Amino acid sequence: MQVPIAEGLIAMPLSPAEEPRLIGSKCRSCGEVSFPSRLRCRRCSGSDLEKVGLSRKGRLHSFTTVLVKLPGARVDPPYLVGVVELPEGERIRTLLAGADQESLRIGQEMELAVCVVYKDESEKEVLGWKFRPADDGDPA
Amino acid sequence: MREAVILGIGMSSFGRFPEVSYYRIGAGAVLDALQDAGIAWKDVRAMYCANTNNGFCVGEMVEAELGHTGIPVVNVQNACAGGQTALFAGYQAVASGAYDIVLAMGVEQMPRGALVGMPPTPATLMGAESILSKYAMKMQRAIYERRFTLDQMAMVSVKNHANASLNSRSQYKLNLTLEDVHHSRMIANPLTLYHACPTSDGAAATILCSKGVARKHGLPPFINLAGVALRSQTFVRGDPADTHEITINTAAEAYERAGIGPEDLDIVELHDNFSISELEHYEELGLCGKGDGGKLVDDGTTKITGRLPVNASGGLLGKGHPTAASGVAQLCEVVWQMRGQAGQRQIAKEIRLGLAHCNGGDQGMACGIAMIKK
Repeated sequence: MQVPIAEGLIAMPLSPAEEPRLIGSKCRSCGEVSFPSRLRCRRCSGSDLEKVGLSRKGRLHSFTTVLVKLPGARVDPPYLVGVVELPEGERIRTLLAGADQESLRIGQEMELAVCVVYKDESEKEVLGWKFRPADDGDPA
Repeated sequence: MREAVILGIGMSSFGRFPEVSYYRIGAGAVLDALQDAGIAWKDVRAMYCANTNNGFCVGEMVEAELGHTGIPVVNVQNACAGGQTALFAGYQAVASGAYDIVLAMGVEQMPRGALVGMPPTPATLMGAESILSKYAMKMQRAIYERRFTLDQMAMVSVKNHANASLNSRSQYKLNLTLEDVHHSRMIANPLTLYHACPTSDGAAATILCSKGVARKHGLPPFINLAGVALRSQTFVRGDPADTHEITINTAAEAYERAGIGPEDLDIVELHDNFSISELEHYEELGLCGKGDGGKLVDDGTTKITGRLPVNASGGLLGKGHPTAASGVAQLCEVVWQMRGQAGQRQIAKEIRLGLAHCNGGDQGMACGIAMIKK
């Protein structure tokens, strides 16, 4: 059985034509987009926010390979993490897949993959997010 | 508001003391500060105690070692900026006239292992977010943008460890080379062990008082706490909890309160939780122009023998980092240097103006800067 890592962060597709997306909040007053969503706009404190599906593609801002076990983290090293900047301007802290430390380049296009990131105490598969190098140059 | 006089200071050794309780470590630093100030515990009218790791009523646990006097004890927590937060509260109490003699302190007994403490968000659970990976990526990005070289970052660690080796209270007394830093254990590329500060046990304390009280205990010139600026974040797109804007904003406020500029400083103790932080903070605190941070280590400006010594104490990297104690320990170092009591690491020129800076909470949630004036 699979469970999302938290409620309200990931929108799973309702039909085969759709793809999963991360869910953020967008301020109707100033346009600022936040992930995860907030109660009020981080920029202007406006209250008129809407939930939006975020772009599936973005640029790799930075990355590293974590080689030590971190208290609190449910994954074992080594693993690749990165920050991906979306066209909306928000930067997503994320696990990376389909690449290694040597092949990655800052600035390259990355694409969202919703996948199992660890198993919880009751052996349920927990769904989180990773970004992997994009296959093509299609706009998000 | 009136200035607050720094009447006394006290600091424990920093390191690993699992056999000693945190409240004994804390009370030891308080007793040192009381002795240094020439006052008794019963003279203290209020206590501001910073801690991150040791549970509730930490200040009262320290107070219980010293004799119950019924004073108000305010416990504060602001991660690595906890020390400055206690100084902020203590300064406000004296400067506003609310109390004439207060204690501001930080104490910490920390679990072994990597500097952690990020909130348990989905991103931390799945490993996508941690202080170590954040700083490794900061280093990676800085190298990509050609802002700093890995050698310049390593030079910060070499410098601060060299200073720490001259400080009897330091956790580490290591004379490192650039190669030692580069070849220490890889934590997260390109971050190796000696680019990161340790976790530590330790405490630091200061007695703050009004000028009227200070005159009863000694002759001027006094060493004053000339203001403490404490800020949370303003909005920065895409980079929640980055240290850049908050440090620039807090520094501007601190300089304004003290009526000085960065060019007037004689000594700086800043938040070198990672080697790259020191280079970034040089620029954010206005110690050099934007983009010139690396030059300050290249040309030796920030060595003990340089024009503007930074982290003469050994910094967090070398002296150790008991989270909430660090800010107050920075103040202790500035005062020792001003009094000429810094032993082997004493700066030769006269020290009149100093600054003590820490960021806290994912490093960019809080920022505190204390201005110290002789």
